[in-house]
Amino acid sequence: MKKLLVLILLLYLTACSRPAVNLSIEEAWARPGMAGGNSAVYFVIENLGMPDNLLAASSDVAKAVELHETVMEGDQMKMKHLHQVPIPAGEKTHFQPGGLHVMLIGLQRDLKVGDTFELTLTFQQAGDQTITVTVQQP
Amino acid sequence: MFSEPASERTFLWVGLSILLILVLAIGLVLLTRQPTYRGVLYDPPVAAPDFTLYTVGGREVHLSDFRGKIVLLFFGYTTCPDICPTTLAVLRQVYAGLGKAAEHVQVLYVTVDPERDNPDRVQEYVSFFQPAFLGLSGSLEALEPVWQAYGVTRIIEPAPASAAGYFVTHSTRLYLIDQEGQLFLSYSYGTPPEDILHDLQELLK
Repeated sequence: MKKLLVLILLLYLTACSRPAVNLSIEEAWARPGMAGGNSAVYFVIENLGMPDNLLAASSDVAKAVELHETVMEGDQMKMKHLHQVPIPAGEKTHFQPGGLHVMLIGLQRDLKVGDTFELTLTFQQAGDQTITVTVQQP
Repeated sequence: MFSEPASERTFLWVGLSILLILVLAIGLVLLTRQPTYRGVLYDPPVAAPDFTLYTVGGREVHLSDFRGKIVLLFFGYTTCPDICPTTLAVLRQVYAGLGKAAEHVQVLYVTVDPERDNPDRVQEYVSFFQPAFLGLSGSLEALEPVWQAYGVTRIIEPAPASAAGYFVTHSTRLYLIDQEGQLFLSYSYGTPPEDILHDLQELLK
């Protein structure tokens, strides 16, 4: 009985000390790219918890990792560098070609179809979430 | 012997006449049928402005070198991580879908960012998608009239907070130039590969 109480207490403490993570990040993929060049990472974030913000992304696969959005104005393609991306609660936020994406600038190595690498996404509430990204053709 | 009543004979003649008219009409429709294209048609087609640009090793390339082939012409830059590779990936699929007929089609990729994209870099980039594609660059003086001739808008957008330094806002149309060097069709960003493949196969018939 005492053991059970300790266990419950421990669970309770763990739950309180860190914000509940209710984000699922699925379908992460990146475009193939060559060393020195660029690539982009795409995924879907489903937020089942509180509203959150994606603040940054990092990976050792590229010299710089940034949050970007492609905006089409008529026939024109415009790139925007974002400092945060709102992740609304109860919704799926899609990072996809022609829209939101994580840009990898200055690849440290070739990214070939089938390769995988780790990408850490930093959220205001959920903190750091590390995901595995698979390189594939769109 | 018995002879047919006159009314029955008339009926036969009318029937035969209708049949003949139908056959002629169907024949006419088949002969004059215009193929339908999924791209936006230039009506009438206009001569595609010729240009001289450079590929790997500084080799000169003229648009007119490809007379007799269908040319797919696209403008972009190698630092562009999202739209440009999307279109190149679509073209790679189209090219693969053509099979042996691909030898009658040439993809040309012209940079809008000569400061970063020298001929070697553009070629290395497009070869990554399909080695048969040609990547073209040149001096700003050589490229500006080409952008202008094809109605390509191109604006340098400084991005001091980004490691990319600057972006190039540019138009994203894909141009199809036929075997006679005429601008024939164009496609907006996001056109599925099947639509482009369909038009190419129609033109190669």
